[in-house]
Amino acid sequence: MPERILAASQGLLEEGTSFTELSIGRICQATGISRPTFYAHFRDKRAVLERLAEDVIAAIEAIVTGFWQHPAIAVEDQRAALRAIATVWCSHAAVMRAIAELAAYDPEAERTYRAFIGRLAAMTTDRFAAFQRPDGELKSSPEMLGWVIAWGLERMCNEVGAGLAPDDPRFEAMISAMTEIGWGLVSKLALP
Amino acid sequence: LIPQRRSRAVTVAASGRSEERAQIEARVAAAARAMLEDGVSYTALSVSDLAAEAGLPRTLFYYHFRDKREVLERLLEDVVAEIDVVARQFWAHKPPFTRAALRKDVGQLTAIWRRHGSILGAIAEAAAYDDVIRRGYGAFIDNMIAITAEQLGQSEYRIRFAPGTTHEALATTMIWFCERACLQIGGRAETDDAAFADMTEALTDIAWTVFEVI
Repeated sequence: MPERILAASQGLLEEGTSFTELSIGRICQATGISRPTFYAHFRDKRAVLERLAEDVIAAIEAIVTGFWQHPAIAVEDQRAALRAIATVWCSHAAVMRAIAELAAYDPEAERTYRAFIGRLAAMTTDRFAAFQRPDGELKSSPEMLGWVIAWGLERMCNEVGAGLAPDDPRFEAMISAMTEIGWGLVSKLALP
Repeated sequence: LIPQRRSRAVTVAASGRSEERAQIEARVAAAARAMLEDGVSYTALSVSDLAAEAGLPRTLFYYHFRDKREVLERLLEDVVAEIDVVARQFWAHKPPFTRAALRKDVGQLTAIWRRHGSILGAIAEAAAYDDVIRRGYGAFIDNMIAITAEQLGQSEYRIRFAPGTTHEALATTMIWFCERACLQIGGRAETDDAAFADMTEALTDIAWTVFEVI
């Protein structure tokens, strides 16, 4: 039953229902269950969304961790990793956008979402710190650069990639643009 | 930059009253700004509180604004006008660029974002679920992207590492990175001046990877 509730809720979000518009009534109707049945499984609609997002977030973090542990990287590895992250993220864009929407006004959701972005930022920072040479050209701290890139990636996936089909040439152009800039930063760190 | 506002719910026709109207609208805008700066979220902002803060009866509020969204649109227009001026002089530069010049331009942009952080934060918040605000904010961002892409096109930026990208995709990346950093990092209370300067350096580092080789 929880799986059916999750699938129906995800379906509603994918049809363009915003999280604000999503109601328990609509979820029950789409699942074909009664309210008491819903409440037997979930506290509220937020609990449904958090469960849906958990899996996507775990999948994104697994890709980032795998890539970042790879010792020697080339520009094509970076592009492949960004493509893998954006593909998972954008194919679950409805859920990720709903979480971001909730985080804009709900303090608890904001902490959870920021913690996720923070983990992406920390992994990016570690990666940059490993490349950094004292005579490198970058003037910002690796910590700040990690945060800026993690938030930027979030927005590119939720705002730009979310509206594009995976075979849209603009999707690949977006991945390439992030690779171009990301590799530009690495080259400035490693090759002063 | 953003589409023309719909006509007011009630149009004040008498021209002699236009000054009074402007004054009241400015008072409401100032009240909304003050409340957002105090940390009230846009979702939690009510017309009653807004009218009380502006010292107006609710009925008079509705004489000038259809709803709180229209107040937010008005605030966005003011910020957009300010950013537009900076963006135009920003991109009026001719290559070759220096990092110092780029840092100055990025700094001007982030400073505006910081000054109007509470308003832009409310707009980004409302854009997540309000289609009208979403279109207005989208038009503003799209315009910044278009100006940046045009600059890249004129400068004949050569793709160095990742064939397959376009000037438009690069500009889109730069502008959204800037938007998100300003809102999510620059807009936070614990971001002090040093951290804010670091953020501006990070955005300059990003822009510099693209503009240096032009």
